[in-house]
Amino acid sequence: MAGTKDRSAGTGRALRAGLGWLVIAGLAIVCWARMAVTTDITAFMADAGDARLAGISRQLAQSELTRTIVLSVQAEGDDPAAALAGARAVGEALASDPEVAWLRTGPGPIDGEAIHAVYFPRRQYLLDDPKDRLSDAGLRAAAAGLKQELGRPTGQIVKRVAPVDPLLLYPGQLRRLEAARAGGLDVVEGQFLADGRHALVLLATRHSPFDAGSQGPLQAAITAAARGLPAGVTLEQSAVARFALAAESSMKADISRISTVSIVGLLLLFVLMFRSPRLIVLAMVPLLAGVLAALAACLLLFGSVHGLTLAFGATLIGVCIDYSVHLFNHHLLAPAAGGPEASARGIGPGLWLGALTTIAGFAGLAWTSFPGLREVALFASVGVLAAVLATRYWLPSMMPREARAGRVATLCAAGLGRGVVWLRGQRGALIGLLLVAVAATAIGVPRVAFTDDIKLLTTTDPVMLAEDERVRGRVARMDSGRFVVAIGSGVDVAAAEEAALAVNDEVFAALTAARAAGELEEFRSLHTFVRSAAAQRRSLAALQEPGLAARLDAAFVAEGFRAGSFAGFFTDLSSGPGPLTVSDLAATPLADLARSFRVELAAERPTVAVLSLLRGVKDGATLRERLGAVTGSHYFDQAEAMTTAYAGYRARTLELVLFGLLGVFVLVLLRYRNFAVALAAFAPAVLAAGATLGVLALCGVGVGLLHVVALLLVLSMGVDYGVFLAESRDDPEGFTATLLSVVIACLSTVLGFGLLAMSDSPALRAIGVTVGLGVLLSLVLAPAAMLLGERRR
Amino acid sequence: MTCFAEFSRKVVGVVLVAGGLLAGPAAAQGPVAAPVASTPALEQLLARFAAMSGLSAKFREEKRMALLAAPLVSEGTLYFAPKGRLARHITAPAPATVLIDEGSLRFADAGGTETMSLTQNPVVRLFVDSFVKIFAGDRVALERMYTMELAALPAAADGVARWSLRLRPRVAPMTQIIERLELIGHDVALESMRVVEVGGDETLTTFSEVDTQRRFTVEELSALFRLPGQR
Repeated sequence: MAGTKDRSAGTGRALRAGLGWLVIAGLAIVCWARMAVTTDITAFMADAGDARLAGISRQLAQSELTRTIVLSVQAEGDDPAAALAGARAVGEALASDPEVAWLRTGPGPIDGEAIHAVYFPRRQYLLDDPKDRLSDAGLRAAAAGLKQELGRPTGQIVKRVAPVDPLLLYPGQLRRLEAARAGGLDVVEGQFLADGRHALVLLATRHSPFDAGSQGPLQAAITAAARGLPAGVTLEQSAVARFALAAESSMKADISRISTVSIVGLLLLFVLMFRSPRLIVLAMVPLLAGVLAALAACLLLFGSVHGLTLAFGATLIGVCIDYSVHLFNHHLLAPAAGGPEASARGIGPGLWLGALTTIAGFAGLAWTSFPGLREVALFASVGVLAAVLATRYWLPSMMPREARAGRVATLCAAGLGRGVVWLRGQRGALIGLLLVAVAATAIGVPRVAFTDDIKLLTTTDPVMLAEDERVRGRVARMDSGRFVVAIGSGVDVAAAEEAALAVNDEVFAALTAARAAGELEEFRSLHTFVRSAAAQRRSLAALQEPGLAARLDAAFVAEGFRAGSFAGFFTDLSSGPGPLTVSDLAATPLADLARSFRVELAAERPTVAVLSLLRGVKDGATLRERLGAVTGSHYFDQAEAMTTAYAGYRARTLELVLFGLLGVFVLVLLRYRNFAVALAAFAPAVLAAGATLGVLALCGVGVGLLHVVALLLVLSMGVDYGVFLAESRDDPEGFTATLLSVVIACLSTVLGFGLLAMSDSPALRAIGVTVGLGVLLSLVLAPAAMLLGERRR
Repeated sequence: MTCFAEFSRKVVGVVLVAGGLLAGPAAAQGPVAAPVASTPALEQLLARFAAMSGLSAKFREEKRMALLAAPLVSEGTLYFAPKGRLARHITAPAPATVLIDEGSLRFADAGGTETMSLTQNPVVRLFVDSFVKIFAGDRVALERMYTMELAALPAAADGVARWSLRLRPRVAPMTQIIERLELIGHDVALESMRVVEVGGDETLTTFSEVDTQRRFTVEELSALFRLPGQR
């Protein structure tokens, strides 16, 4: 009968084990089939708050502005001919690359007919500042200007248009277009040449600069093209993609290194503690289940997983493995009569409470507005849940029914047991320990300096940055991430565009005044290509003023022109086409350029944003104040906005952490129904987190959003330790086993996070330092508080 | 409108340094007449131009236009250095400089400076080449652009034997803008040049103190063939 029961139990165990592996296989297939890693830092940008600006920010991150790469070729001895030849060779090598959307070594041919067809018949809409220019003095100045133009080498050409355009509205527009198109670059033999020695190649990529899969091969092709240049000819570049690739490469290397060394370290630790190869392999099972389930959940829900989320996955190694360690220690050091299943059942409440408190902490992050952090919250919660399920219901079915603890584990447990007995007599030392932590918290926390610069999240190679700035300087590109946006809404897109263009007209005037006042060096505006229909109609109306024809004639005659020479201009006024719209530019070579200034926003009503790009803003506050007078315009500094947003979300996350803590304490209190025990289980984690924050502040480390997130991890693990110890408080043998579990868990976590602290990525480093320090403090404080609580009880 | 579209192409070509508006060489756009029957005199004259070590001259230019009641007059000094470098330093009514070299035309006056690529602007190149190729005595290039007639003028009161060289454009778009160029001179010295446009406007440039054996030192080349204020 007993044999039948044993066989039946054995079959049940085998079935459960098999079922578990089937689930794992299913998760693995999902992960394999859907695996997609992104490193787009915009995932960690807010998508709420001012949704419109966030939308623009996101769209800009993917726009042609960030997809443009500038290559600069220089030859030894500043020989321009060799530089130009080098640029041509680079251009030829890259032109056929599938990732290159367009490539230019020079401004290229202009379809003059198309430009003429658009602007010349609409010259009457192009008059700026009609009040001044159509005054008697303004007309005299226009006449003098035309006379001067006629004396120039281009006079032959100007005089052919002058009878129908005496104010030279059309040539003036062509000059503005030329300035916008050439961007201030010299053109030599049809090629861009900066400073007389840097030949330039401009290209745009088809995909986002954050898309490593397409940018990697293109960067390799650029490197190959550079290697193919003759000796003495060098290539430099400015490309957002390059920084994104470097960040991804660094992050991938970190993840790989941390995971590998972490696993090797853990294996060594387990070999020492458990001796059994079977247990060592089985210890990884909850980890495997946790990571696979978390990854599959992210891939199914978000379509991809972020690199930073995966980094958190590496940290889960430290968290989830605690559960199996806890189970093994109880099974080996304080075995239950019913075998591993009974041991699992015995520590079950502690496991569940630990897991639930962890999930409660992470779940708070799901309320943040950062898509990246929501992903982290989901990853961590699902991972922890899967790991606890695997530990509680699956792992025991694969464990040996009877096993003996290894010598090292037995010695450690005995040593910890003796240590506990000794510490019970050291009440003063225990209180002193807690007081030191309280002091570190009390002194350090008020000194916390919050650092919310987004640069905290990424590493920038100073050499690469210097090269990028040199090249940017040569092409006088506009500042990245700094712009003025004119927003308009309407019943349809055309109305929204007109409203946005009207705001943009005012922005143009404000920026022109700001440039004159030295508040910024330069700007580029869609106004150069097209202005609002209302402004265009104002221009026409001004030219149709009764009496203007006579006044103009008089002014021009006074400057030496024949009377009646410009009658054709006034005849044409009533016969031209309607005002110019952005879509009219579609057939011209200006279409791409104009399109890059215009962004359609997702909103309830059709909304269009028109951007003005800026360079050399001297004083953002003054400019912001000036633009404050233009309703519908916003001065946007991406870095400043992100810093503000991060500060807001850091504060919000801190609130959520504190709120989550309240939930955690309620859970613990509900479990133990004893305030002292609940406090002994809960308080050390809070104190460890507080002391960590205090130490960071006292060491001068600025605290940002990621430190706060890492503190959440400290709290989650710290509460786990407290709960595990509280669960064993009435079982001396079990308490020692639990204490050993906590020590091993802490060591494994420090192994993982200690390496994160050495990461090249500031984001990972912030997490590593915080968690490593916090978990070590938890290891010391949790048993101390439990022993003090014991006395109180 | 065709006229203005043409204008647009030219202005775009001139103004948009990006240029390259007219895709191919203008020679490909118009019918090519048979080359002029060259006379030994024309050949000799151009050969003597080609043999010049350099040239400098004072000039006075009068532009007569239908738009203006009185001609636009400018005065200054012109310098030509082989092969193909031309500088016009205008002193009156206001200082201005025009420089032409192999690849570009640069211009500076009180209103600012402007540079245009001749490679990218064939129309402008044709105008520029008219003058530069004459001073360079480049017969092949001239025959490609113009039909040429050289005639001897009756002796004037001073007894100097003068010649007249008349050039008529043979390629578009020059044929639509310029009716003819008339050059008058003696020996290798140019005395006047009249450009008659299709619409009747004309520009008369008279030259004085012509030095056809001008040799430029390196310092002079550097000083004369650059825009004011530039290195």
